Amino acid sequence: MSIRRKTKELQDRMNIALSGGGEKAIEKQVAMGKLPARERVEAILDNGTFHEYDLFVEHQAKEFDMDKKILNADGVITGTGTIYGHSVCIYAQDFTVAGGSLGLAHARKITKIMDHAMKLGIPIIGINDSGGARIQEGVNSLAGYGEIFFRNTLASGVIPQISVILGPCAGGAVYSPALTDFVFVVDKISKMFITGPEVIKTVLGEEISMDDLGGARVHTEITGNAHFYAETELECFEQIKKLVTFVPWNNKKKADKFPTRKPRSKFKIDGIIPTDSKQPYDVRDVINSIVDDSDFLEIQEGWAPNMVIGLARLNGDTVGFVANQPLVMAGVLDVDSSDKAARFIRYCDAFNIPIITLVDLPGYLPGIDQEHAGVIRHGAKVLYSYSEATVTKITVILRKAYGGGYIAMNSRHLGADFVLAWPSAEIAVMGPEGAANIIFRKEIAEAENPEEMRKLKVKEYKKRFANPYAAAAYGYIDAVIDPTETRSYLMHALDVSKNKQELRPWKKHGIPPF
Amino acid sequence: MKISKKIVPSSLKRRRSRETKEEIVEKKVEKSAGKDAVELKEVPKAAQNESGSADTLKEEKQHDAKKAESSKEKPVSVKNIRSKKTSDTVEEVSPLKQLIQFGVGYSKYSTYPSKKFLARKLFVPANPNQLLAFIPGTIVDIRVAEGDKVKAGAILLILDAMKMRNKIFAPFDGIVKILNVELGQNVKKNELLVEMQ
Repeated sequence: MSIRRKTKELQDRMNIALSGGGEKAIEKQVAMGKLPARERVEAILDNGTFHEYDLFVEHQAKEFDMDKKILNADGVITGTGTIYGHSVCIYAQDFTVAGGSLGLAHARKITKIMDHAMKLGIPIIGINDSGGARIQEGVNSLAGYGEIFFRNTLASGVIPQISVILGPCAGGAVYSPALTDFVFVVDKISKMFITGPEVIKTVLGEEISMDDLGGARVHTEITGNAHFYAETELECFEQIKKLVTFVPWNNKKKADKFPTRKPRSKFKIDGIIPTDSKQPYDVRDVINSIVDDSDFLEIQEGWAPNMVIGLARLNGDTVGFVANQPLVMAGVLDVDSSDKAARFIRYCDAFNIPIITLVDLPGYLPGIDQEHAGVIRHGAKVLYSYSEATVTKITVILRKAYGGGYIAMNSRHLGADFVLAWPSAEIAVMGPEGAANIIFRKEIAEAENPEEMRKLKVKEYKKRFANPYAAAAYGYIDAVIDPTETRSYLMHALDVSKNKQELRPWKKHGIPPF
Repeated sequence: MKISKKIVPSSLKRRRSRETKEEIVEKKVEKSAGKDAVELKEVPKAAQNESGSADTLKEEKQHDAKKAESSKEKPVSVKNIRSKKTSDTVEEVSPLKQLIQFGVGYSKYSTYPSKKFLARKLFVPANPNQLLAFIPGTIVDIRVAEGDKVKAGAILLILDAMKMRNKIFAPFDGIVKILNVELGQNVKKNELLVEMQ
């Protein structure tokens, strides 16, 4: 009898705690097009698998009459559940409770679930929707942020960390998502910035809306802070579920194997690349014509579109793709595209995902703005990441591979395990026009018709060097293959390198050109 | 011909859903601009200039000048325009979806420009006589007037920014030629404060 009475008390307490910020606040949240925090969690996880922790946590703050305030669950929901049967840890800030503000108890709930995820070796998903630090708690809220950042850093490369921005995420709070592997944003809902429009207006006199300053589109297209963009929250949740099927559940495991599926027949690999190396094409078509079910999950689609990165499966196993995109800016390497590729390479390496690099680039983007923006330092990141990576690294040279770009894009010299080239490959120290101008300068200047002579010499150079065979003659390329053989060759390469081990000299850590 | 037919539609489709309002507005501008210029061979270029900023315009001019210099490159090829007409009407294409001839290392490649590339600022060498605001802020003190002779290291202005009173010093012995600010004025970054002689 008595236990039943106690159960009743539990039920009553739970009902209060689960009510969040109350009906009115929840209605307001819904009116903004946002889901209540608990519904978000349930929408991401498999039906009925969410188990909440720390529902009865209370804050200990006393100043500013805080001791009289009860904040249900202290404004954050934490727990575990499954996605497609795999365990994950999850937390979601509840904007209806004190604006989702972060106090010490709130932060400790988050750090606890993060520690949990680390010990269990399972991914952590964080849903950010918070007005920022709980000012009444003073330095304690700053301590809370710091403890979260510290754990983000420790967990980096150990377990997958996914951040979902479903509301404001301002000030120091943005650094937690920035430290995680993938950031998801939703149009009109996500807002990320260090200093908000009001501060900017008072200090600088510049007026800007929240969306223009740090909205979803800004972070997907201009800053590159966000990796996935969705129009609605539900679309975003689908993206998360799709992503987690591709990633390993921690750095000691491989991603789940799926049944092998052929690429869809509408992607014909031998009909994509124009023979004229100055004509563009969409490199994603090439990827789609290689991978299982033509299912390519592109990451950071809107930012630095001259480089394409993403995950796909080959023979049922997850692989990462890094590819130059000749459709945009001729596929050049520049500050942003180098950054984008370098981080993704390190991601793949950390989580044992083989990297397949598709090369078709004319080189580095020339320009004063690029040089002044530090293209040397940023470009070096690509060299560093490829050289450092010890996962299976496969390169397929589709067409142009000139100069520094050839070296940077996972050449044999940076430790590639397999380097393949299509017959259309042009591997040379520079483009035929430039090379001919320099090598045959004298002949061209002395000729009766310099223009004719130049054309002739360009043609001559093209014939001799604009092919894969010069590089193949030195063994820098393992095989020149028919494009239609690419998929089977890649599957074979992955298969034989299943147990690849590559040791590096001991070090605490390297010093990449950040 | 065959190639562009294949590429352009698929990529356009993918990008179209991502267009911002701004781009849609740009498109409209182009539509009206393009109609007058349909007969011209350089239609895509004209449309691009119409919608681009002054910067882009300058760039284009430089680009053209370069082309003329090297004379290696034909002007925009007729082939290109025709292929675009078959895949999409010229008037509708925004600058992001127009193939440009983009030079990398003496060769030119047909490709779409990126937003960042179109929006880039042209480099302007710094003028040592001009003192610019290195940080946005407020002018809280002016210690000189136009025509004053000053010694190197003399304090000209106090610029209050980020809770700090920043002293603006004279970089060399000279005369204050232009005093471009008033007391209490908010200045933006890189705004001209003082020109010396």
